[in-house]
Amino acid sequence: MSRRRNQPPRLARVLATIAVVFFCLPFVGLLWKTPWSRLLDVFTEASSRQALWLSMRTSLAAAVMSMIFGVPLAWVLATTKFHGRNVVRALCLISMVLPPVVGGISLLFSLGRTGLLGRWLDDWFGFQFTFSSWGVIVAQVFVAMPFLVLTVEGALRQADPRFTEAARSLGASPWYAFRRVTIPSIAGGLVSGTVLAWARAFGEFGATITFAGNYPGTTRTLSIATYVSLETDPGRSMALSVLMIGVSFIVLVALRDRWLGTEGPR
Amino acid sequence: MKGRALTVILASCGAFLTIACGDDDTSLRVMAASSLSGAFTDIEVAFERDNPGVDVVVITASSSALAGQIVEGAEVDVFASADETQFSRAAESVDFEPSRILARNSLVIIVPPGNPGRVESLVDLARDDVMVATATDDVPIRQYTDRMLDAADIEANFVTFEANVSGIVTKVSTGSADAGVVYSSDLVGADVEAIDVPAENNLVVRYPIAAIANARRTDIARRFVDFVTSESGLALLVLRGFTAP
Repeated sequence: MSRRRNQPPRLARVLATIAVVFFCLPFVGLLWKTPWSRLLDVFTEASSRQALWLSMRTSLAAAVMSMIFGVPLAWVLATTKFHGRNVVRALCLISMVLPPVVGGISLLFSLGRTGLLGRWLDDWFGFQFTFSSWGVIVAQVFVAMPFLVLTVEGALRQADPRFTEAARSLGASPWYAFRRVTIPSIAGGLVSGTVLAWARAFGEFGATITFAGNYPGTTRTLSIATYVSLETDPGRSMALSVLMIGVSFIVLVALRDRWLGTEGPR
Repeated sequence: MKGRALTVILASCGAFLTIACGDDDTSLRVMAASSLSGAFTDIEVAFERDNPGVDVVVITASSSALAGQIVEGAEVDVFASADETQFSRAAESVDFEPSRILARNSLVIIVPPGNPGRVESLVDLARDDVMVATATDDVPIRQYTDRMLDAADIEANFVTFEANVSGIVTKVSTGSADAGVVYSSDLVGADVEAIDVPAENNLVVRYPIAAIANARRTDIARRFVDFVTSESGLALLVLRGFTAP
């Protein structure tokens, strides 16, 4: 009985079906056009493997960096009250809604070789992010970290603060209580936030090409390779798209059941 | 409740359709190479002033991207390409009127303000301390650059392959790259210094333009091409760094 009452009305289900079709149709269209006979050739080409390997390395690094800085940021935003917190939060999340190219240009003006901070890096260390894989990671962190911050902050707000308070009252240091009590209680949110950030970094294109450039092996990620071959060899581009979809899909599905805790009605 | 939800949905569908289908018969879709974007913005304004009721929509991207879109079936009334190969590629799938040359362009080396890489001529592009930005090999500027460098037997130290000319200008104007090769017309409004390439090494870039043939809007498309190739059209192109055909 109660199960029936919880079901959405038919109109909602119809609209939901349309949404599902809307999301699936482009993939069906792509798969329909993909030259399947070339798939294996494209996947085993040195240039594709190089791009996939670069994308894997940089997106994993970006996910780790997002975790290192994003979790403390979410922690602060979720638990401390300070003047202008909403402004700070908005500033930290704005890259989610920004066109990635704008993000890339802003990074050039700040961390580029003649940028606000970048000029010192160049003067002192002769180092520049642009045209290096570090630049790719920076661009990816810039667009991907907000996804983690948002998810983890939400999880922290929903977590019961009494457990952490109890741990603190028993003499645990703030870091210890956070590590051993708070983090386990938000594990689902932390994993899903990290996966979201990784997925966004893996697919990142606009900020990367604008800030880091496009060179095989150092900055040409799988998404850039896909875009670049769209004009010269659309078949190759489609095969690479299938590869990207495959990798992302496997990761999202595999982690969802294990961790994301959104398995629906039991 | 259900009735109200339906009303809301229908109303939003209606609003959506009104927004999405603003395109009418008098709008003219002009696809132009990225290097033409400044000039064609001026030309759009002038043409619309002379032809009340006509709405020109200028779409700019690299000629190869535009040709690709046309091959894939994108609607186009006028196509202005930065090279003849990409124009022919588009003309294989869409019927165009005979093309005309709208303007000429040449190549120029650009460097960031202050020329930090101390680039003086083409040979400096081969130095390994000079980072050179160019475009991917299907973009016309890259093909012209390669042709020029090959003729001079120079192997440039490329560090990035941008998606289009404006990518090259951005990398150089922000000082990320030490040099790049672009069209003379790209200098207008760009925060870069130019180093001329002598005529014996330089090459002439011709821009073909054509109206779509046997279509509902052929008449007005032809009028647009006539305007671009007229004295007043040429004057606007010259202001943006192009030379007469």
